[in-house]
Amino acid sequence: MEDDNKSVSSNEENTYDTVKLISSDGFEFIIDRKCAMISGTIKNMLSSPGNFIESVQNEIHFNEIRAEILEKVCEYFYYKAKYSNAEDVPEFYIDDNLATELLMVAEYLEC
Amino acid sequence: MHENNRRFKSKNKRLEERSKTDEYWNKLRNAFYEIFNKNAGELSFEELYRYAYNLVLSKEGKRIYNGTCEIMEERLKEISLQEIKPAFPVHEPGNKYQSNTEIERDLDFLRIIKKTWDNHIMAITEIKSLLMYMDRVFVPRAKLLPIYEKSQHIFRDIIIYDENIKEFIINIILKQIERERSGEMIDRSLISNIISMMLDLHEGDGETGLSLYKSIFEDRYLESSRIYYANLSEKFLDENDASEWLKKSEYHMEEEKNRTEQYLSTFSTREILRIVEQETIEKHVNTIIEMENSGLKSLVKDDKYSDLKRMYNLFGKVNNGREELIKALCEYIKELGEDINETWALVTPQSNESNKHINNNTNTNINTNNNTIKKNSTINKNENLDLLNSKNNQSSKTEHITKQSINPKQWVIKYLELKEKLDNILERGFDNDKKFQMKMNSVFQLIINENPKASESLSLFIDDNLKKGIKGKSDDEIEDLLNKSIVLFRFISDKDVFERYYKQHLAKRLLYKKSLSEDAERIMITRLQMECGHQFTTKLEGMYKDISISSELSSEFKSLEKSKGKKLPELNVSVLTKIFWPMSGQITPNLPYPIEIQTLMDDFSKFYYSRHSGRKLLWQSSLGSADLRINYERGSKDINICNLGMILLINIFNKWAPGDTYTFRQIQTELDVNDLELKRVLQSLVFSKYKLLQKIPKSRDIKDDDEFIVNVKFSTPLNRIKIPMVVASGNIHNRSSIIENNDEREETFRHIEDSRRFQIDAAVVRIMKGRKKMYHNNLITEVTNQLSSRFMPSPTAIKKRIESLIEREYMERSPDDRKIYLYLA
Repeated sequence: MEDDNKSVSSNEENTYDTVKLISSDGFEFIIDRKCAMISGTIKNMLSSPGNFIESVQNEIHFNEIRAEILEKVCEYFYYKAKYSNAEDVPEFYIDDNLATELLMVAEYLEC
Repeated sequence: MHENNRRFKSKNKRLEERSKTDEYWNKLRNAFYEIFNKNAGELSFEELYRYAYNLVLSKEGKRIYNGTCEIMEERLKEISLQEIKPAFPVHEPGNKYQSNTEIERDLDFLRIIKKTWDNHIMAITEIKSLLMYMDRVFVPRAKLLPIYEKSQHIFRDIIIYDENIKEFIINIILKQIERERSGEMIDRSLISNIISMMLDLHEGDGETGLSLYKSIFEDRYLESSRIYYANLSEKFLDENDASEWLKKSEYHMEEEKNRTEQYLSTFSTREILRIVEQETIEKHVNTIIEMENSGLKSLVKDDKYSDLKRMYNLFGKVNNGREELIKALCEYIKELGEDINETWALVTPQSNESNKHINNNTNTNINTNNNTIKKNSTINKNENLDLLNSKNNQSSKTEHITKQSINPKQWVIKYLELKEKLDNILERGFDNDKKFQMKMNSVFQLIINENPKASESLSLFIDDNLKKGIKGKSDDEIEDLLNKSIVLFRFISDKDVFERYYKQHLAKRLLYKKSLSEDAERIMITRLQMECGHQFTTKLEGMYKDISISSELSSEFKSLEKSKGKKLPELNVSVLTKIFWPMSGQITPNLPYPIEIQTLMDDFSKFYYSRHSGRKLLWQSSLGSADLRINYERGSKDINICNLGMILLINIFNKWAPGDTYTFRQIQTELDVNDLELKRVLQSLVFSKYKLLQKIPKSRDIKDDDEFIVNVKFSTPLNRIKIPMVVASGNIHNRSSIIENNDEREETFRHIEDSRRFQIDAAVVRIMKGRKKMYHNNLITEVTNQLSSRFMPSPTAIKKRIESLIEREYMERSPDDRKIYLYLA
C-alpha cells in the first residue's frame, strides 16, 4: 500500500488532500487526509490551533509504530471509510501475530 | 481488534518507568510553558501526545492534571499582578463625566482582560488536545472536570473573582453603554468580547452553572438601565409632548433590542424591553393619555393615525395600557357625542325631557284618504281700497331662529362624521381591534340614543336627502350616503320609532311627490329590509303600490270626465290603503266644498265604487291642497293652498266687492267649520310671506269681531306661490322637513306605545306557547331578547303586559310557585 495515492501536495497552503505518516522504521505512507482523520488522535494533531510541527510539515512521525502495523492501520482507515455506511461489510482480516500490537496502537490512535 | 495482552508494558521494567515518567512530565511541562508563550511551532504533537499517553498508562494522570492546573494558576496570577493590576482605571472623584484619558484607560483595561482571556483560551485549547487521552481515560475515572472546563474555572477564580477586577469590568461596560445611549460611538466589539467571555464562564464547580453574565452582570445592567429610563421619563414629563415621547420610547426599545443583539446577550432582550416599557410607558399611561395638546384627545381630534397606532402598539405591551386607552377613548367619544347632542339637538346630558307632557289625542281608525284638488277658479278683485299694512311678524321670526338651533340634519351629519372618524381610527390606528370596536360601538350607541329625537332626526336626514340632498350626486355617492345612514340606524335602539318616522316621511314624500329618485328610495327600502325584515318593508311597498295605482285611477277618471264634456276643475286623487299609511290627520268630512268640487268628488266616488264594490272611501281633506288662479290687476298668480284655504277664498272672498269686510264671526257662520282650523288658515293668509288678506286690527290674535279684507295690492315676482301653513303654536311651519312639535311627538309616541304593547303581548304569548311553563325572570329575559332588535322593552312594561294577559286568561300563575307562569291553551 506504500505507493497508493502519491501525494499531490506538499508545500501548498494549509489545505492538503493527503498526509504523510511515517513509521518508526522510516516507511512513509501518504494517505487521504480524510481517511487519516478517522483517528481521533491524528485529527487532533492536524487540527490543533497551535502550530505544531506536524501541521506545519503535514507529516507525522510515529516513533513507536512499525511499518507493518502502520500499514495495517492505513488499510483499516480505508476499510472504515469505504464501509462505514454500507450494509454488506466484509470481514477485516487481521493476522493473529499482529493482533495485540494493533490493539495497543488503536487505543493510542483512538480509532 | 480483540484479545488483550500487555506486551507494551512488560517490555519496560518498573524502574526504568519511574525515571521515564519524570522525564516525560518535565518535557510536557516545558512544552506547556512554550505554548503559553505562543511558541508551539517547534514542538511535535505526536511526541507530546505520546508522553501524556504514556504517563496516563503509567497511572500518572493525576500528576499531569494537577500539574497543568498549577501551571495555569501560576501564570494567571502572574498576569493579574504584572499586567492587569497596573492597568486599573483611575477616576478623578467628583466629576460626573469622564475625561477622554480616563475613558481610554477604561478601554485599555478591558483590552488587557480580553487579551488575557484570548491567550488563555488559545493555550488551553492546544493543551487540551495534547491531553486528550487524559481527558478520555483518566478524567472520567477520577471524576474530575475535563481540563478545558477546569481551566475556565481557574481563570474565573483568579481573574474575574478578584473583587476589584470584577467591579471594574462591570462598571466600565455600564459606563460605555450609557455613553452610547447619549449618542457617542463606543467600541462595541471590545465589549462584545468581554460579554461573551462572561457568557462562557460559569458559576459553580460543574460544567453547567449559571453563566457569569447572568450572575454578576445582568442584574447590574438592568438596574442601571432602569435608573436611566426613570430619569429620562422624568425629564420628558416636563416637556409635555405625548406623541414625541411615544416615538422616543419606541426608538429606545429598538435601540435596546439592538444592543442586546449586537454586543450584549439576547438573554436580556426581554427584560430590558420590559424595563423600557415599564419606565417610559407603564408608569405614565394616564399622563400620556391625558397630556394636553398632544394626548389622546388631540391625536383623535387631528386624526393622527400613525401616532395613535404607535400608542396602541406600545400600550399593548404594558399592563393595563390598552384598557386605559380604550377607557379614555370612550370617555372622549362620549364627550364629543354629548357636544353634538347639546349643540344640534339641545340635549343637555341627563336633562329631563320636557317635551312629553302635552297630550293630544287623535286616532286613525278610518280609511284614510287624501285628495288633491286642482281647481282653476277665478277670483276677481278690484283694487281701490287702501288697507292697513300690518307686517308685525317680527316676533315670530325670532322664535323661529331659536327653534332652528335644533338642527336634526346637522346632528346626523355630525354623527356621520364622528362615526367615520372613529372607523378610520379603528382601522388605521387600532388594527381593527375587536375589543376596541365593541367598546367604541357601545359608547357610540349610548350617546346617539341620548338624543330622544335620534330616530326622528335620522329619518329627517334621509328624508331631506331623498328630497333634495341627492340632487346632482352620482349613484355611488347616493348609495354611500344611504349606507352610512343605515350604519347609524343600526346604533339606534328604538328601531320601531325610526320605522314610524320613516313611514311618515315617506308618506309625505309620496303624497306630495317630493322624492327625487325612485331608485334611491328603492335602495333605502332594500337596506331597511335587510335590517328589519319584511314586516316593515311590506308596508312601505304597499304605499308605493297605492300611489302608482292612484295615478292610473286619476288619469282614467280624468279622461272619463272629459268625455262627459263638463267644464270642471281637474281632480287628482290618491287612494290609500289604511293599514299601510301612518296618516293621523283628522277627518273633516263636512267641508263645504264649492259645488263644482263637491260634484267632482261625488263623481269620483261613483267611479271608484263601480270598480271596487265593497270598499269604503273616506275623504281625508286635511291632506289635500288646491291650485287656484287669482287675477290681480297686475297679472294673474297661481296659488297653491290647503283645501280649507281654497274654500275660504272661493266661497267668501271671491264674492267680495270693493269696500266689503268680513268679521271672523261672519266667516265662521258662513262656512261652519272648526274655529281653530279656520284661524290657522286666516293667519296663514294674513301673516305669511304672501299676504293675500289683511286684517283689522293688525294684532296676531283673531277675535270674533276682527275684520278681513282682500289685499288688492298684492304682488310678487313669482308666478306660482305656495301658501305655507301656520301651525297651532303660531309659527310658520314648513311641514315635513322640521322636527315635530310637542303635540305631534306626543302623538307619535302614543302610537309607538300602542304598538309596543301589542308586540310585547305577542312575544309573551309566542314564548309561553312554546314553553308552556316558565319562570318570571326567564320570561322577561326572553322577551327582551326577542324584541331588542326593535326596541328595548322595560321590565316593568313587560310585567304590565303579563298581568294583562293573565287577566285575559292567556296564562296563569302556577299555584305551587308564584314565580312560574303557565300557558293556558
